[in-house]
Amino acid sequence: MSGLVVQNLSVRLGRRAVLDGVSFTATKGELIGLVGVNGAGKSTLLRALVGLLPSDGSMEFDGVDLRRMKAGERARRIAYLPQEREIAWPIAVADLVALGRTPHRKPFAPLAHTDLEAIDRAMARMDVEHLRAVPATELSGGERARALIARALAQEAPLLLVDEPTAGLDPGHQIDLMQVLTDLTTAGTTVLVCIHDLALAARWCSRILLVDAGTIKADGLPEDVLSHEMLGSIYGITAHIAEVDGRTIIQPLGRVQTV
Amino acid sequence: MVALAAAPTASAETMPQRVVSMNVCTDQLAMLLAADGQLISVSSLARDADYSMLAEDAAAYPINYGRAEEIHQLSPDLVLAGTFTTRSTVAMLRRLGIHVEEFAPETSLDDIRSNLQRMGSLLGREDEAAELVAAFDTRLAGLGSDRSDLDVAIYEPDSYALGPGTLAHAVVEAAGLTNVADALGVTGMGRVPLEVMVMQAPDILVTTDDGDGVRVRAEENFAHPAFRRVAATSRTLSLPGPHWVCGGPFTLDAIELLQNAAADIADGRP
Amino acid sequence: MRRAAGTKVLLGGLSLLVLMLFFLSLLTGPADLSPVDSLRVLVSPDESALTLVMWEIRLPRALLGLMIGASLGLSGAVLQGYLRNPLAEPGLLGVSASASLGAVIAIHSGLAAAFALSLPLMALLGALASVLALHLFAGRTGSALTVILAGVALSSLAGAMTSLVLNLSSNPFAALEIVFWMLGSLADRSMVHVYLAAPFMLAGGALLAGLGRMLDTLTLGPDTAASMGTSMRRLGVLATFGTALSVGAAAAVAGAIGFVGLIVPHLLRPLVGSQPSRLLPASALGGACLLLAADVAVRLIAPERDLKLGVLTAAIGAPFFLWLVIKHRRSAA
Repeated sequence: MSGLVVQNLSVRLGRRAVLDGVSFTATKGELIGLVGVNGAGKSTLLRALVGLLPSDGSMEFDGVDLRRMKAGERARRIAYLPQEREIAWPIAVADLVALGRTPHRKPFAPLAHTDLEAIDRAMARMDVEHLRAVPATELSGGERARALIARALAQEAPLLLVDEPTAGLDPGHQIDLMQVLTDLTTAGTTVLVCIHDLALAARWCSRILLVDAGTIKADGLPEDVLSHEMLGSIYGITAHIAEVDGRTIIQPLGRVQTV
Repeated sequence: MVALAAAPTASAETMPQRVVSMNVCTDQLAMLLAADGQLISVSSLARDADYSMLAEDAAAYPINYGRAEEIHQLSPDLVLAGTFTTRSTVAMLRRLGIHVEEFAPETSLDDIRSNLQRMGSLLGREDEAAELVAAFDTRLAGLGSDRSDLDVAIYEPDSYALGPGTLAHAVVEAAGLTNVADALGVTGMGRVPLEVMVMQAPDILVTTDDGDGVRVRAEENFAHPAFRRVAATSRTLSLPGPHWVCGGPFTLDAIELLQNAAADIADGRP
Repeated sequence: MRRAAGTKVLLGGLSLLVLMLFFLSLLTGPADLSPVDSLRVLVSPDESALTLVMWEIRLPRALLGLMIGASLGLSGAVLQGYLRNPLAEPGLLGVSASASLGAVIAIHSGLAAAFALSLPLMALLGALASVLALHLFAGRTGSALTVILAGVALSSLAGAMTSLVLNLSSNPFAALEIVFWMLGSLADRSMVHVYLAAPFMLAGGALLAGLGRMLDTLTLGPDTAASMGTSMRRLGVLATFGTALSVGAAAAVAGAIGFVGLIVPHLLRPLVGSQPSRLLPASALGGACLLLAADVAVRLIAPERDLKLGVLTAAIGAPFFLWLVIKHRRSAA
């Protein structure tokens, strides 16, 4: 089985089940949006997939058990961008993006030609080439976000897990980013993106997983999952839903009035 | 010293009956001179062989730790203290109406004589003191006063050497030898780094090594390979700490040992 | 990357400086020796006292300055990278003081006299205990403040325990030693100390030197680091043991010398583009430079006084630390 196959994945934090029997598959070239309210378990799902949390159930990528993979091997297959945008030291943007090549490098070897190419590609994609020599800690919020995404892209893994990458980006760069993710899927990458912005999710994702209270409530095309009923029951909101050029457009309007 | 020696003296009738000493040097003078039962307590250091030449004798006396309260409890009629004894303790004892006499540490042979005499008069034991001083002078005269051109270093842990102003220097002088520390400009107790000592390579090297191995980091200088090489080429004597802390009749032992070492070198004896 | 070439130049320059300071250290001392003769007997030793001084006193002192400085510089850079805290340093975090405590116990229990290796081993144990305690109290996610406060508490505790052991000792010289263990000195050390400390420092250095790439990934936080293949557990174990070995061996033979691990990484960080992996070798060399220079300085300032090394490093380091605190506060605000 190619792609990501998750079966009955559960994560417990103390006594609470944060993820409770999650199953889904993600095939090559899909751009899957994980949506759901705060605390639903979206980030936990990504963290469990990268092995940051102990979990039960099975996770396979291209038929290989993720838990049996060595850390380096897993890092060459899965790139992960957490929501936190921590940068501890004022390293140059180019050095930051180069960190994404770590899993591909031999110990103590300098960056290889292929590494340098991947770094340049990632920086070009995220429009940070001109910031190459700037200390990453001196970037604006949006620039910092883009530099960090470029780092994950430079990893050039077949599975990319990104947590709220569009937060803090201006609309133009939001669209650029979603376009980059789409381009990646076209090139064969599988992308899982946690995203609160339903408009972006509906517009760009090929498939939506709606996570609610640690389970997958709905799994399907954006127009099928993001229905008025679902938005009402899960988010407690009303929205304007339309279709433009064959794409679903969602504009949240207000809270559902409780009677 | 002169001023101190002019302190009140005790006649036989008024001789103190309950004498407490709280300094390791006065402990030793008092033990040498006191009548039976007159000295009722000595300091804890008196029993410590690292400080006291008379540690074994001190076992016969109750000890004190130099605290005003416990001294007062002993209701002494004379307290002997050193000039380095805690000032506040001495002041408190005096406020309590206790007669305290202070002794400066001996740094010369004259100091030894005058402190013995002063102790004798304070204890009402002038005759005994006079005997001790006479015996001291007789033995000192017997040791001779020939000067030799040999030099000597008295080396303590952590590379400290004893120079002019210390009892050790007086001993070296009395033995007719030259103190290396003096030549190096050390006064009192001063640091002579190992490499300086190695370059000096004294004829006689006196260490205060007690020979129980390195039990404190400061003693590592005695185990240093460079020191051992110098010690192997010099005439080496081990005269542990108490020889140099307080003066007394036993100070002549150190002079004699130094003179013997010098004589051995002069006569080419191994 | 242009930076790589710059780093090579920096490392070359620092190596040259280490070499110069090493020779300066060999030629500095309270005994007035001719530099030419001094170097001659180093090349062809004879039976002279000069040979003895150069080979048994000056050489071990210079070697220890080099090794201890490199160990402290490297440990400081690793600790800062690992804790992602520019204020972290073996001295400030109480690692050095705890190692000193271990060494003091080894000597005063008579263990070191019976079994020489127990000295570095006990110091190692002390250092290890303090790093583990730091983990326990502050953790790797602990804020800069928590880590420093835990370190201050550990330092004070270890210092007090050292004083206690020395005060309880019957040896008249024990109480004077508190200063040595708290401030450190290289005076009158011997090749015995070099042989005793070197294996531990080399082992510790080997563990720490390989951590550069892991520390690089940690720049982006533990989660990102782990996702890029860095095992946080492995990193933690290696950083802990490497630091304990290096700092433990240093403190066992020279006492707790502070601030080297703070000043050096901080001065060199801008020169290596802040990348932890490039900072490690630079800090090792920089630490060796600083300690050799400080040890030359204490001999020039007060040749006969055994001015403690820690006095000099603290005199430079403590104001530097305060300046860092102010800078840290500003950037946090």
